[in-house]
Amino acid sequence: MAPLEPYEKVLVDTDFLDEDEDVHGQVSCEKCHGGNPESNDYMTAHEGMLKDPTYPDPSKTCGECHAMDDEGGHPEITGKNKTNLHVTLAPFKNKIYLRASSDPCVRDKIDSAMGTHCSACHSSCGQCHVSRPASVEGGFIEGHLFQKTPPVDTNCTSCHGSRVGKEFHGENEGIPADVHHSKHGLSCKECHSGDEMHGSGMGTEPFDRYEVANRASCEDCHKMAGSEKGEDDKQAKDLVHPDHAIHQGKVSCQVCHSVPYKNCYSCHVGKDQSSVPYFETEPSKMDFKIGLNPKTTEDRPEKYVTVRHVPISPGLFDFYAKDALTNMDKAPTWKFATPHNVQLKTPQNETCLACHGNNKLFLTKKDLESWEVKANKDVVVPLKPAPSVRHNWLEQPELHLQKMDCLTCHNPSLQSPIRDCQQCHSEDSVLLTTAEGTPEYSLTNWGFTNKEIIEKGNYVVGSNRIPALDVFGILLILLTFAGCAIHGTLRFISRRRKW
Amino acid sequence: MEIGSELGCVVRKKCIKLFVIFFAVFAFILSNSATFAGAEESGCVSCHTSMKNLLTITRDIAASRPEVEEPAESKGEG
Repeated sequence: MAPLEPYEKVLVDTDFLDEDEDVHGQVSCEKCHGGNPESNDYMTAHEGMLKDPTYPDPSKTCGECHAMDDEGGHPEITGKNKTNLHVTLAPFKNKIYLRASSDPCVRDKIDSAMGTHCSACHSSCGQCHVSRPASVEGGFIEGHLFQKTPPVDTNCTSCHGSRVGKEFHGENEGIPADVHHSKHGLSCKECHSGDEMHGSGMGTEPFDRYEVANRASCEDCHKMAGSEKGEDDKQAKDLVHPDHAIHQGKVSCQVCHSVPYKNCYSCHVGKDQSSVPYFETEPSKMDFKIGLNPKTTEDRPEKYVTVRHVPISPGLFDFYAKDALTNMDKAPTWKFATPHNVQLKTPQNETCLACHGNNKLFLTKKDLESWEVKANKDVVVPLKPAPSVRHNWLEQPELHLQKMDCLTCHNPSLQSPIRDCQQCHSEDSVLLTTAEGTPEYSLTNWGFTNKEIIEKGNYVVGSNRIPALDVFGILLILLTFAGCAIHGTLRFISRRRKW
Repeated sequence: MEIGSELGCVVRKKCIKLFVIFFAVFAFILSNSATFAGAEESGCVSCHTSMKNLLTITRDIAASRPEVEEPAESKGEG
């Protein structure tokens, strides 16, 4: 996004002064911004002027009208400001402090570095609804006309651009856009409501952004098949695919429905020879990693989640204080993530074996630098043997894995997976009832009874047969015996006559 | 005739009085309206709604300020 020309940044649209266009234009400029409206000299006119009168405390500007409690007694809009993460950036600070040395001198230096490099990335009422955020050089969005919903490109993705924005809009080479955007034309606001954007209204600041109570969730729109929709629920496709019932609560949605996303590494901050602040990161990598959920909660109970590498490095603040981050082990560098490039079909959800046993998808020790092994101990997935090894108790593991549908044995309706050969390889094989769920199948039929099983690629020795041939074979054996008996009897009778 | 002209005079005076009162009230309302008090009359509005003024002033400011250096050493994505 190109920055605006200096005059464009502060050019007020005359429509702003029209009450019918924007009621905010009826409030005098100096009431919010201060300064001296009597002066025609720009220097004196701007003395004491506040560029953004809504940061950090909007109570005397926006709060004059937007601070009333709603019917539920919750502080409305500006009341939530103190715990609004867009304003406070609390999780940034929390995570840095968690890793930082407890030495007060070091903490001071970290605070100073964060003030220079990190804290400018906050937002405010004004920096969403009136202008672009100051971190991207500001400038009115539309001539100071207040925007009820901030535009995506000038505001949301001006801060959330390099990861979420590019993922959602498909701007990473070879990676498609999020299906919610490409197929259904959704933008940020459809999932991230104004209520969420203005903060949770919780008494205390959440430690992590995923602890925000009113954050967006897939289940706000997508309900499991059979679960009831509330009146306020948005309508979207129900999750009817049987795999949802199997994986629900075990893996996060993105584990099956995300594609590679951006991971950042090794951020360092400092000042150049002219004392101009700079930052440096190693080239980012597009990758997809499934890790263990380090902190399962009631609303995030999944064991497996997608994880993203954050740009933290032990030497982040070396320019300001050597070894400032002495507790790097206290928080994982591969962090719970919700990549915004959801697809219905992904390489890992093509088949069961595309994911199960595919160690490349999982975060393992091989993916870690030596200094981050301990930090990620709760996230790394232990390597599991290949499926053919795990199934080596079978007579022909490879053949079973190739020819059998995994769900035949790992049927969710069974208490435990099938491990007894006889359960399949017998006349009353479970394949005829449980696996394919068609009770009309029976090995006593005269036709080719399990044609459907074979068509699905399944293969079960002994059950792939024509029962009519069984009956014919038994008859043939009986007739042979009968023939022998008759032959023997006739020979016996004829001999006795000769004697 | 005299009674008629006196009556006319009284009516005229009353009309003038009413006009003066109406004008005063109108002027008072106008002078207190937010738009006039805070916007149209202020230097802020006259300057910030004029592209020409802003172009001149922003160019002057840019010329008078030392050039802000870009952080030449920044590499990677933020």
